[in-house]
Amino acid sequence: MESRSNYWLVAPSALVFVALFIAPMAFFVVLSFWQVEYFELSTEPTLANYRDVFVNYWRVMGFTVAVATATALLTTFLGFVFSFLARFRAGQWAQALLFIVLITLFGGYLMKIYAWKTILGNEGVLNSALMAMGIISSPITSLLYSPQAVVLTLMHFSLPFAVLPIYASMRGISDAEVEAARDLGAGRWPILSTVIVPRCQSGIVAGFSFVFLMVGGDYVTPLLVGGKITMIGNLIAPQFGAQFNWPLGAAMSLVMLLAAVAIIYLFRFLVALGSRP
Amino acid sequence: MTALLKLRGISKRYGDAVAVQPLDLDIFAHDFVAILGPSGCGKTTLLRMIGGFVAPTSGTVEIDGRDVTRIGPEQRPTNTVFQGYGLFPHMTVRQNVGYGLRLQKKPKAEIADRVAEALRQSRLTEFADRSVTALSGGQQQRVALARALILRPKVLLLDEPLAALDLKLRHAMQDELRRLHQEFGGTFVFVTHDQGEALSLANRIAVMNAGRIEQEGDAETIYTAPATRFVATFIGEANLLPGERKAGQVKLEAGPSFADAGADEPVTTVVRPKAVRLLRAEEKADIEISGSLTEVVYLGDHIKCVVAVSDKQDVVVHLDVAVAPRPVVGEHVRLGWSIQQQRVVSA
Amino acid sequence: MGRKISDFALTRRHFTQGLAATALAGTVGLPSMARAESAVTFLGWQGYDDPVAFDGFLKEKGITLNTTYIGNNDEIVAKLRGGGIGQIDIVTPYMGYIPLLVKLDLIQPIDESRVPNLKDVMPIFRNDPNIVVDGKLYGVPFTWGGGPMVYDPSVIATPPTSWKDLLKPEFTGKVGMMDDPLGNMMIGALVATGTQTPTKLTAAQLEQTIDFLIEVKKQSRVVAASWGDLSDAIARGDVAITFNGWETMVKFCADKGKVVKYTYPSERTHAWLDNYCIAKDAPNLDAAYELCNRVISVEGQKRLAEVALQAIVNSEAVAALPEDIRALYPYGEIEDYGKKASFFGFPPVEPEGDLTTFSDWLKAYERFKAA
Repeated sequence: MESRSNYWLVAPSALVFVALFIAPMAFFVVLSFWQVEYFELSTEPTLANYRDVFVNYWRVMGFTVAVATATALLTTFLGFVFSFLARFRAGQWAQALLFIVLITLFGGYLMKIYAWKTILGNEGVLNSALMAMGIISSPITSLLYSPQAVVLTLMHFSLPFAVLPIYASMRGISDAEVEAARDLGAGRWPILSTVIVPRCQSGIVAGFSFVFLMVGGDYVTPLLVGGKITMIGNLIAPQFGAQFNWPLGAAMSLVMLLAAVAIIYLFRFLVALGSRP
Repeated sequence: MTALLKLRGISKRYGDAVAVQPLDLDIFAHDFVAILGPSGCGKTTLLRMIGGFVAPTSGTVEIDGRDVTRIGPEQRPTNTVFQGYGLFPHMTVRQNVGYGLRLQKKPKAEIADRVAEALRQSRLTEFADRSVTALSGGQQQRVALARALILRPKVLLLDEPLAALDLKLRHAMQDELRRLHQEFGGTFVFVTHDQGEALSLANRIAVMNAGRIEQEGDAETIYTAPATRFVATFIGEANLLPGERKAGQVKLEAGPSFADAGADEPVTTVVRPKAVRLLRAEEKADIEISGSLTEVVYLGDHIKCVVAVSDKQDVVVHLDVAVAPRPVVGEHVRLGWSIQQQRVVSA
Repeated sequence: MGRKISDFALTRRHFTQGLAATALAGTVGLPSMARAESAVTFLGWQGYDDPVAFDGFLKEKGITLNTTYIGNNDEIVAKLRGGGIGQIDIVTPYMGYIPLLVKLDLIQPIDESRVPNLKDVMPIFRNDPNIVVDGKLYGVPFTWGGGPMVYDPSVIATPPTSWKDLLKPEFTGKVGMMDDPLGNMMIGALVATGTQTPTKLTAAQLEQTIDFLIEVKKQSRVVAASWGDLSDAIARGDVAITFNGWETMVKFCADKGKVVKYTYPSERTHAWLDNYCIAKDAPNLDAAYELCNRVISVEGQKRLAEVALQAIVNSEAVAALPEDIRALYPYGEIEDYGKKASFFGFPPVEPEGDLTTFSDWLKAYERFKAA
């Protein structure tokens, strides 16, 4: 009896979850099997949208997955290093370091993008400085409007989202654990690989997932600092706007979502594999 | 016989704060040593300098003839049982115990055998594949011990090993530690603030106060012949009687005087409550003093009496419960003790 | 400001059925407050109401304005069809939309006698064939612009005379493009297919157009998201020349401290013309005519030119502009403007023989985007 009454307690949140997450998702799935052709919405089930995705969009999708994976790996690594320094090396400065990370969240998304444009452009801060120092004689034109610029900007934007879960899980590691590992003969690297990384698994995977999902769905950064780079978001967004092809947009979104889930699970598997005692 | 562990002039300073004053300490093989002192006396810092977790400001640490002062804990022939145990929560009991051997890249079969043996010795076999987070405090303590002992350290260091346990478990673990020390035959050094624990476990005790070792010796000497006023008060109950030594004669403020060789200075005479007797009418003693009984408390194994011998001096006496007749509060009594049972220390 | 050619997209029949209808139903509702005698309902780009509303004109005429801003031209069609007829007075469509609006019976012809300021509107705008259907004028044109080639004279002394020159090695990595599907494809069609009607393309011509755009993209460093971003890129020296453009970029760049110029290559370019149109069954017809006349008055046009930096149509107002504002647009040789930039209109919205529709264009444009 008691357990039955407990189920009722979760009913409101379950309802919210179903209404706000499951239902729209289900609608998207259904939608992706419909089709818009010659301005008519046909509810006859078809795989045409998925065929379209795999025939016409696989290259952009692959590129997007590559950019997102690279960004997520680099950002997670940086986030790990940052968290490590804050947790184990910064001492009393740890709070200050974290505050700096949090404060970058306030900057706003577009502000960061424009900041990087100012830094990376032909007449930007970086090129000007390098030229003033005589290191280069003409601007490095590939800084802005390149995949690197997209990765860099997205890393800057998403770093806090990697730091926070990793740092949170690192705080759960007691000093005694680390000292015990040293005491039992572990040097710097074995401590990392046998204690710190395995203990931060969930934080690392959470950080990677946050970053990957944010980058995979982004379509503003490539537009503004990517030059002529197109990511899948740049092709999905118009399907819900100018092109009014929601079914195709839904199919593209779902395939991208599955790709993201697959990558995240693969990453999780690799982290777990590397963390086995 | 040379000491297994030699500390020479070792000290630790944090900025202006001195945690450990320069000190020497010798610990011999097979000793079970307690470093005893109140919190903040520097005992944990001293232990951490032995383990290699704290770099000394001055002095050297030598283990088995080798200077290890500049060597990190991962390379010292010591292992530590930490106060919070520091078990790895992402590993099972077996994985925790085998951790050190795996780092040494021992053959798998050897690791398995030695871990199984260690688990058996620590009576952990049935928990081997459980997560350490699923264990009770006492069980976790045993895992921490097994994990450290499996590496056969020359010196096992224990930081307040029993502090986290409740009273009943603490007694069981004391037996366990004593048994392991005997079976293992190694050298144990542990830090504690509990004089009872120190007396019951250790064969040698170093009493620390304010960054110094006040006295180091076997448990009986420490108890019966405290070298300083601090040691006398920290270990067991003691009556402290202030006085003045002049020309080989000590005059107590409370009255009596007696001969005692030493420099002219203010002194404190220490006498344990158990050593003080209630003198019968004609009975004589080396030192005699009288006063009125202000308190009589029955404490099960003894009777505690408080006697006011002057306006500002009380003397506590422990009497056998069989004493007859029972003294009564308000009664005027004579107290006495033998000169061998008192200690005169600098004030 | 008003012009957002990249957002141009035409209505689909399924607006009134299927999902788009559902999506839009919620936004169709218009202010339904009790109206004063002439509370004009205005549906158009933000800023396009300013020339009639900036001073005491409305008060003087006893008019109040209920404005609803649009995000793209589709909304005009959607809202008029979704219950706006009989409620909306003024809409501001791109000239390419006017034939469709007429065909769908959503706007009414302009009684030219009630818009006396039309006499001052330069003939090239007044007589644009897109806004005249069956001999009747359906829109009051009031602002325009084109898609010239903008370049940085400090890098490029003599600008190319053909759009094709952008493919020359000397421009590699120096070209900036704009993510403007309609404008890019019309210029691309002019250059790649040689057609004089770049809104009417066969499937093969559309492919040729996209192939050409991809070639240009290979030469480019950026496909900008907005005219501001493209101006930014040229002002910062990241690009030196553009494919597609807007005359007003000269001013945008000047504000960033960069002198740029523009030119019209020999193949010509596209141009656009925005209009005040009166909705069918407009409830405040008299007031609507007052506004149509006002937006092309000298005062209204000066305001539009000086504050919004838009190009204007009233020759009297042009004469009264300060020199620097007038210099933004080629007013001096306006009668020749058609030889440089044309008001091409709009591709078919529904299948029409072997011609590709606008939705085919958008689909094809993705190939350019993905390249």
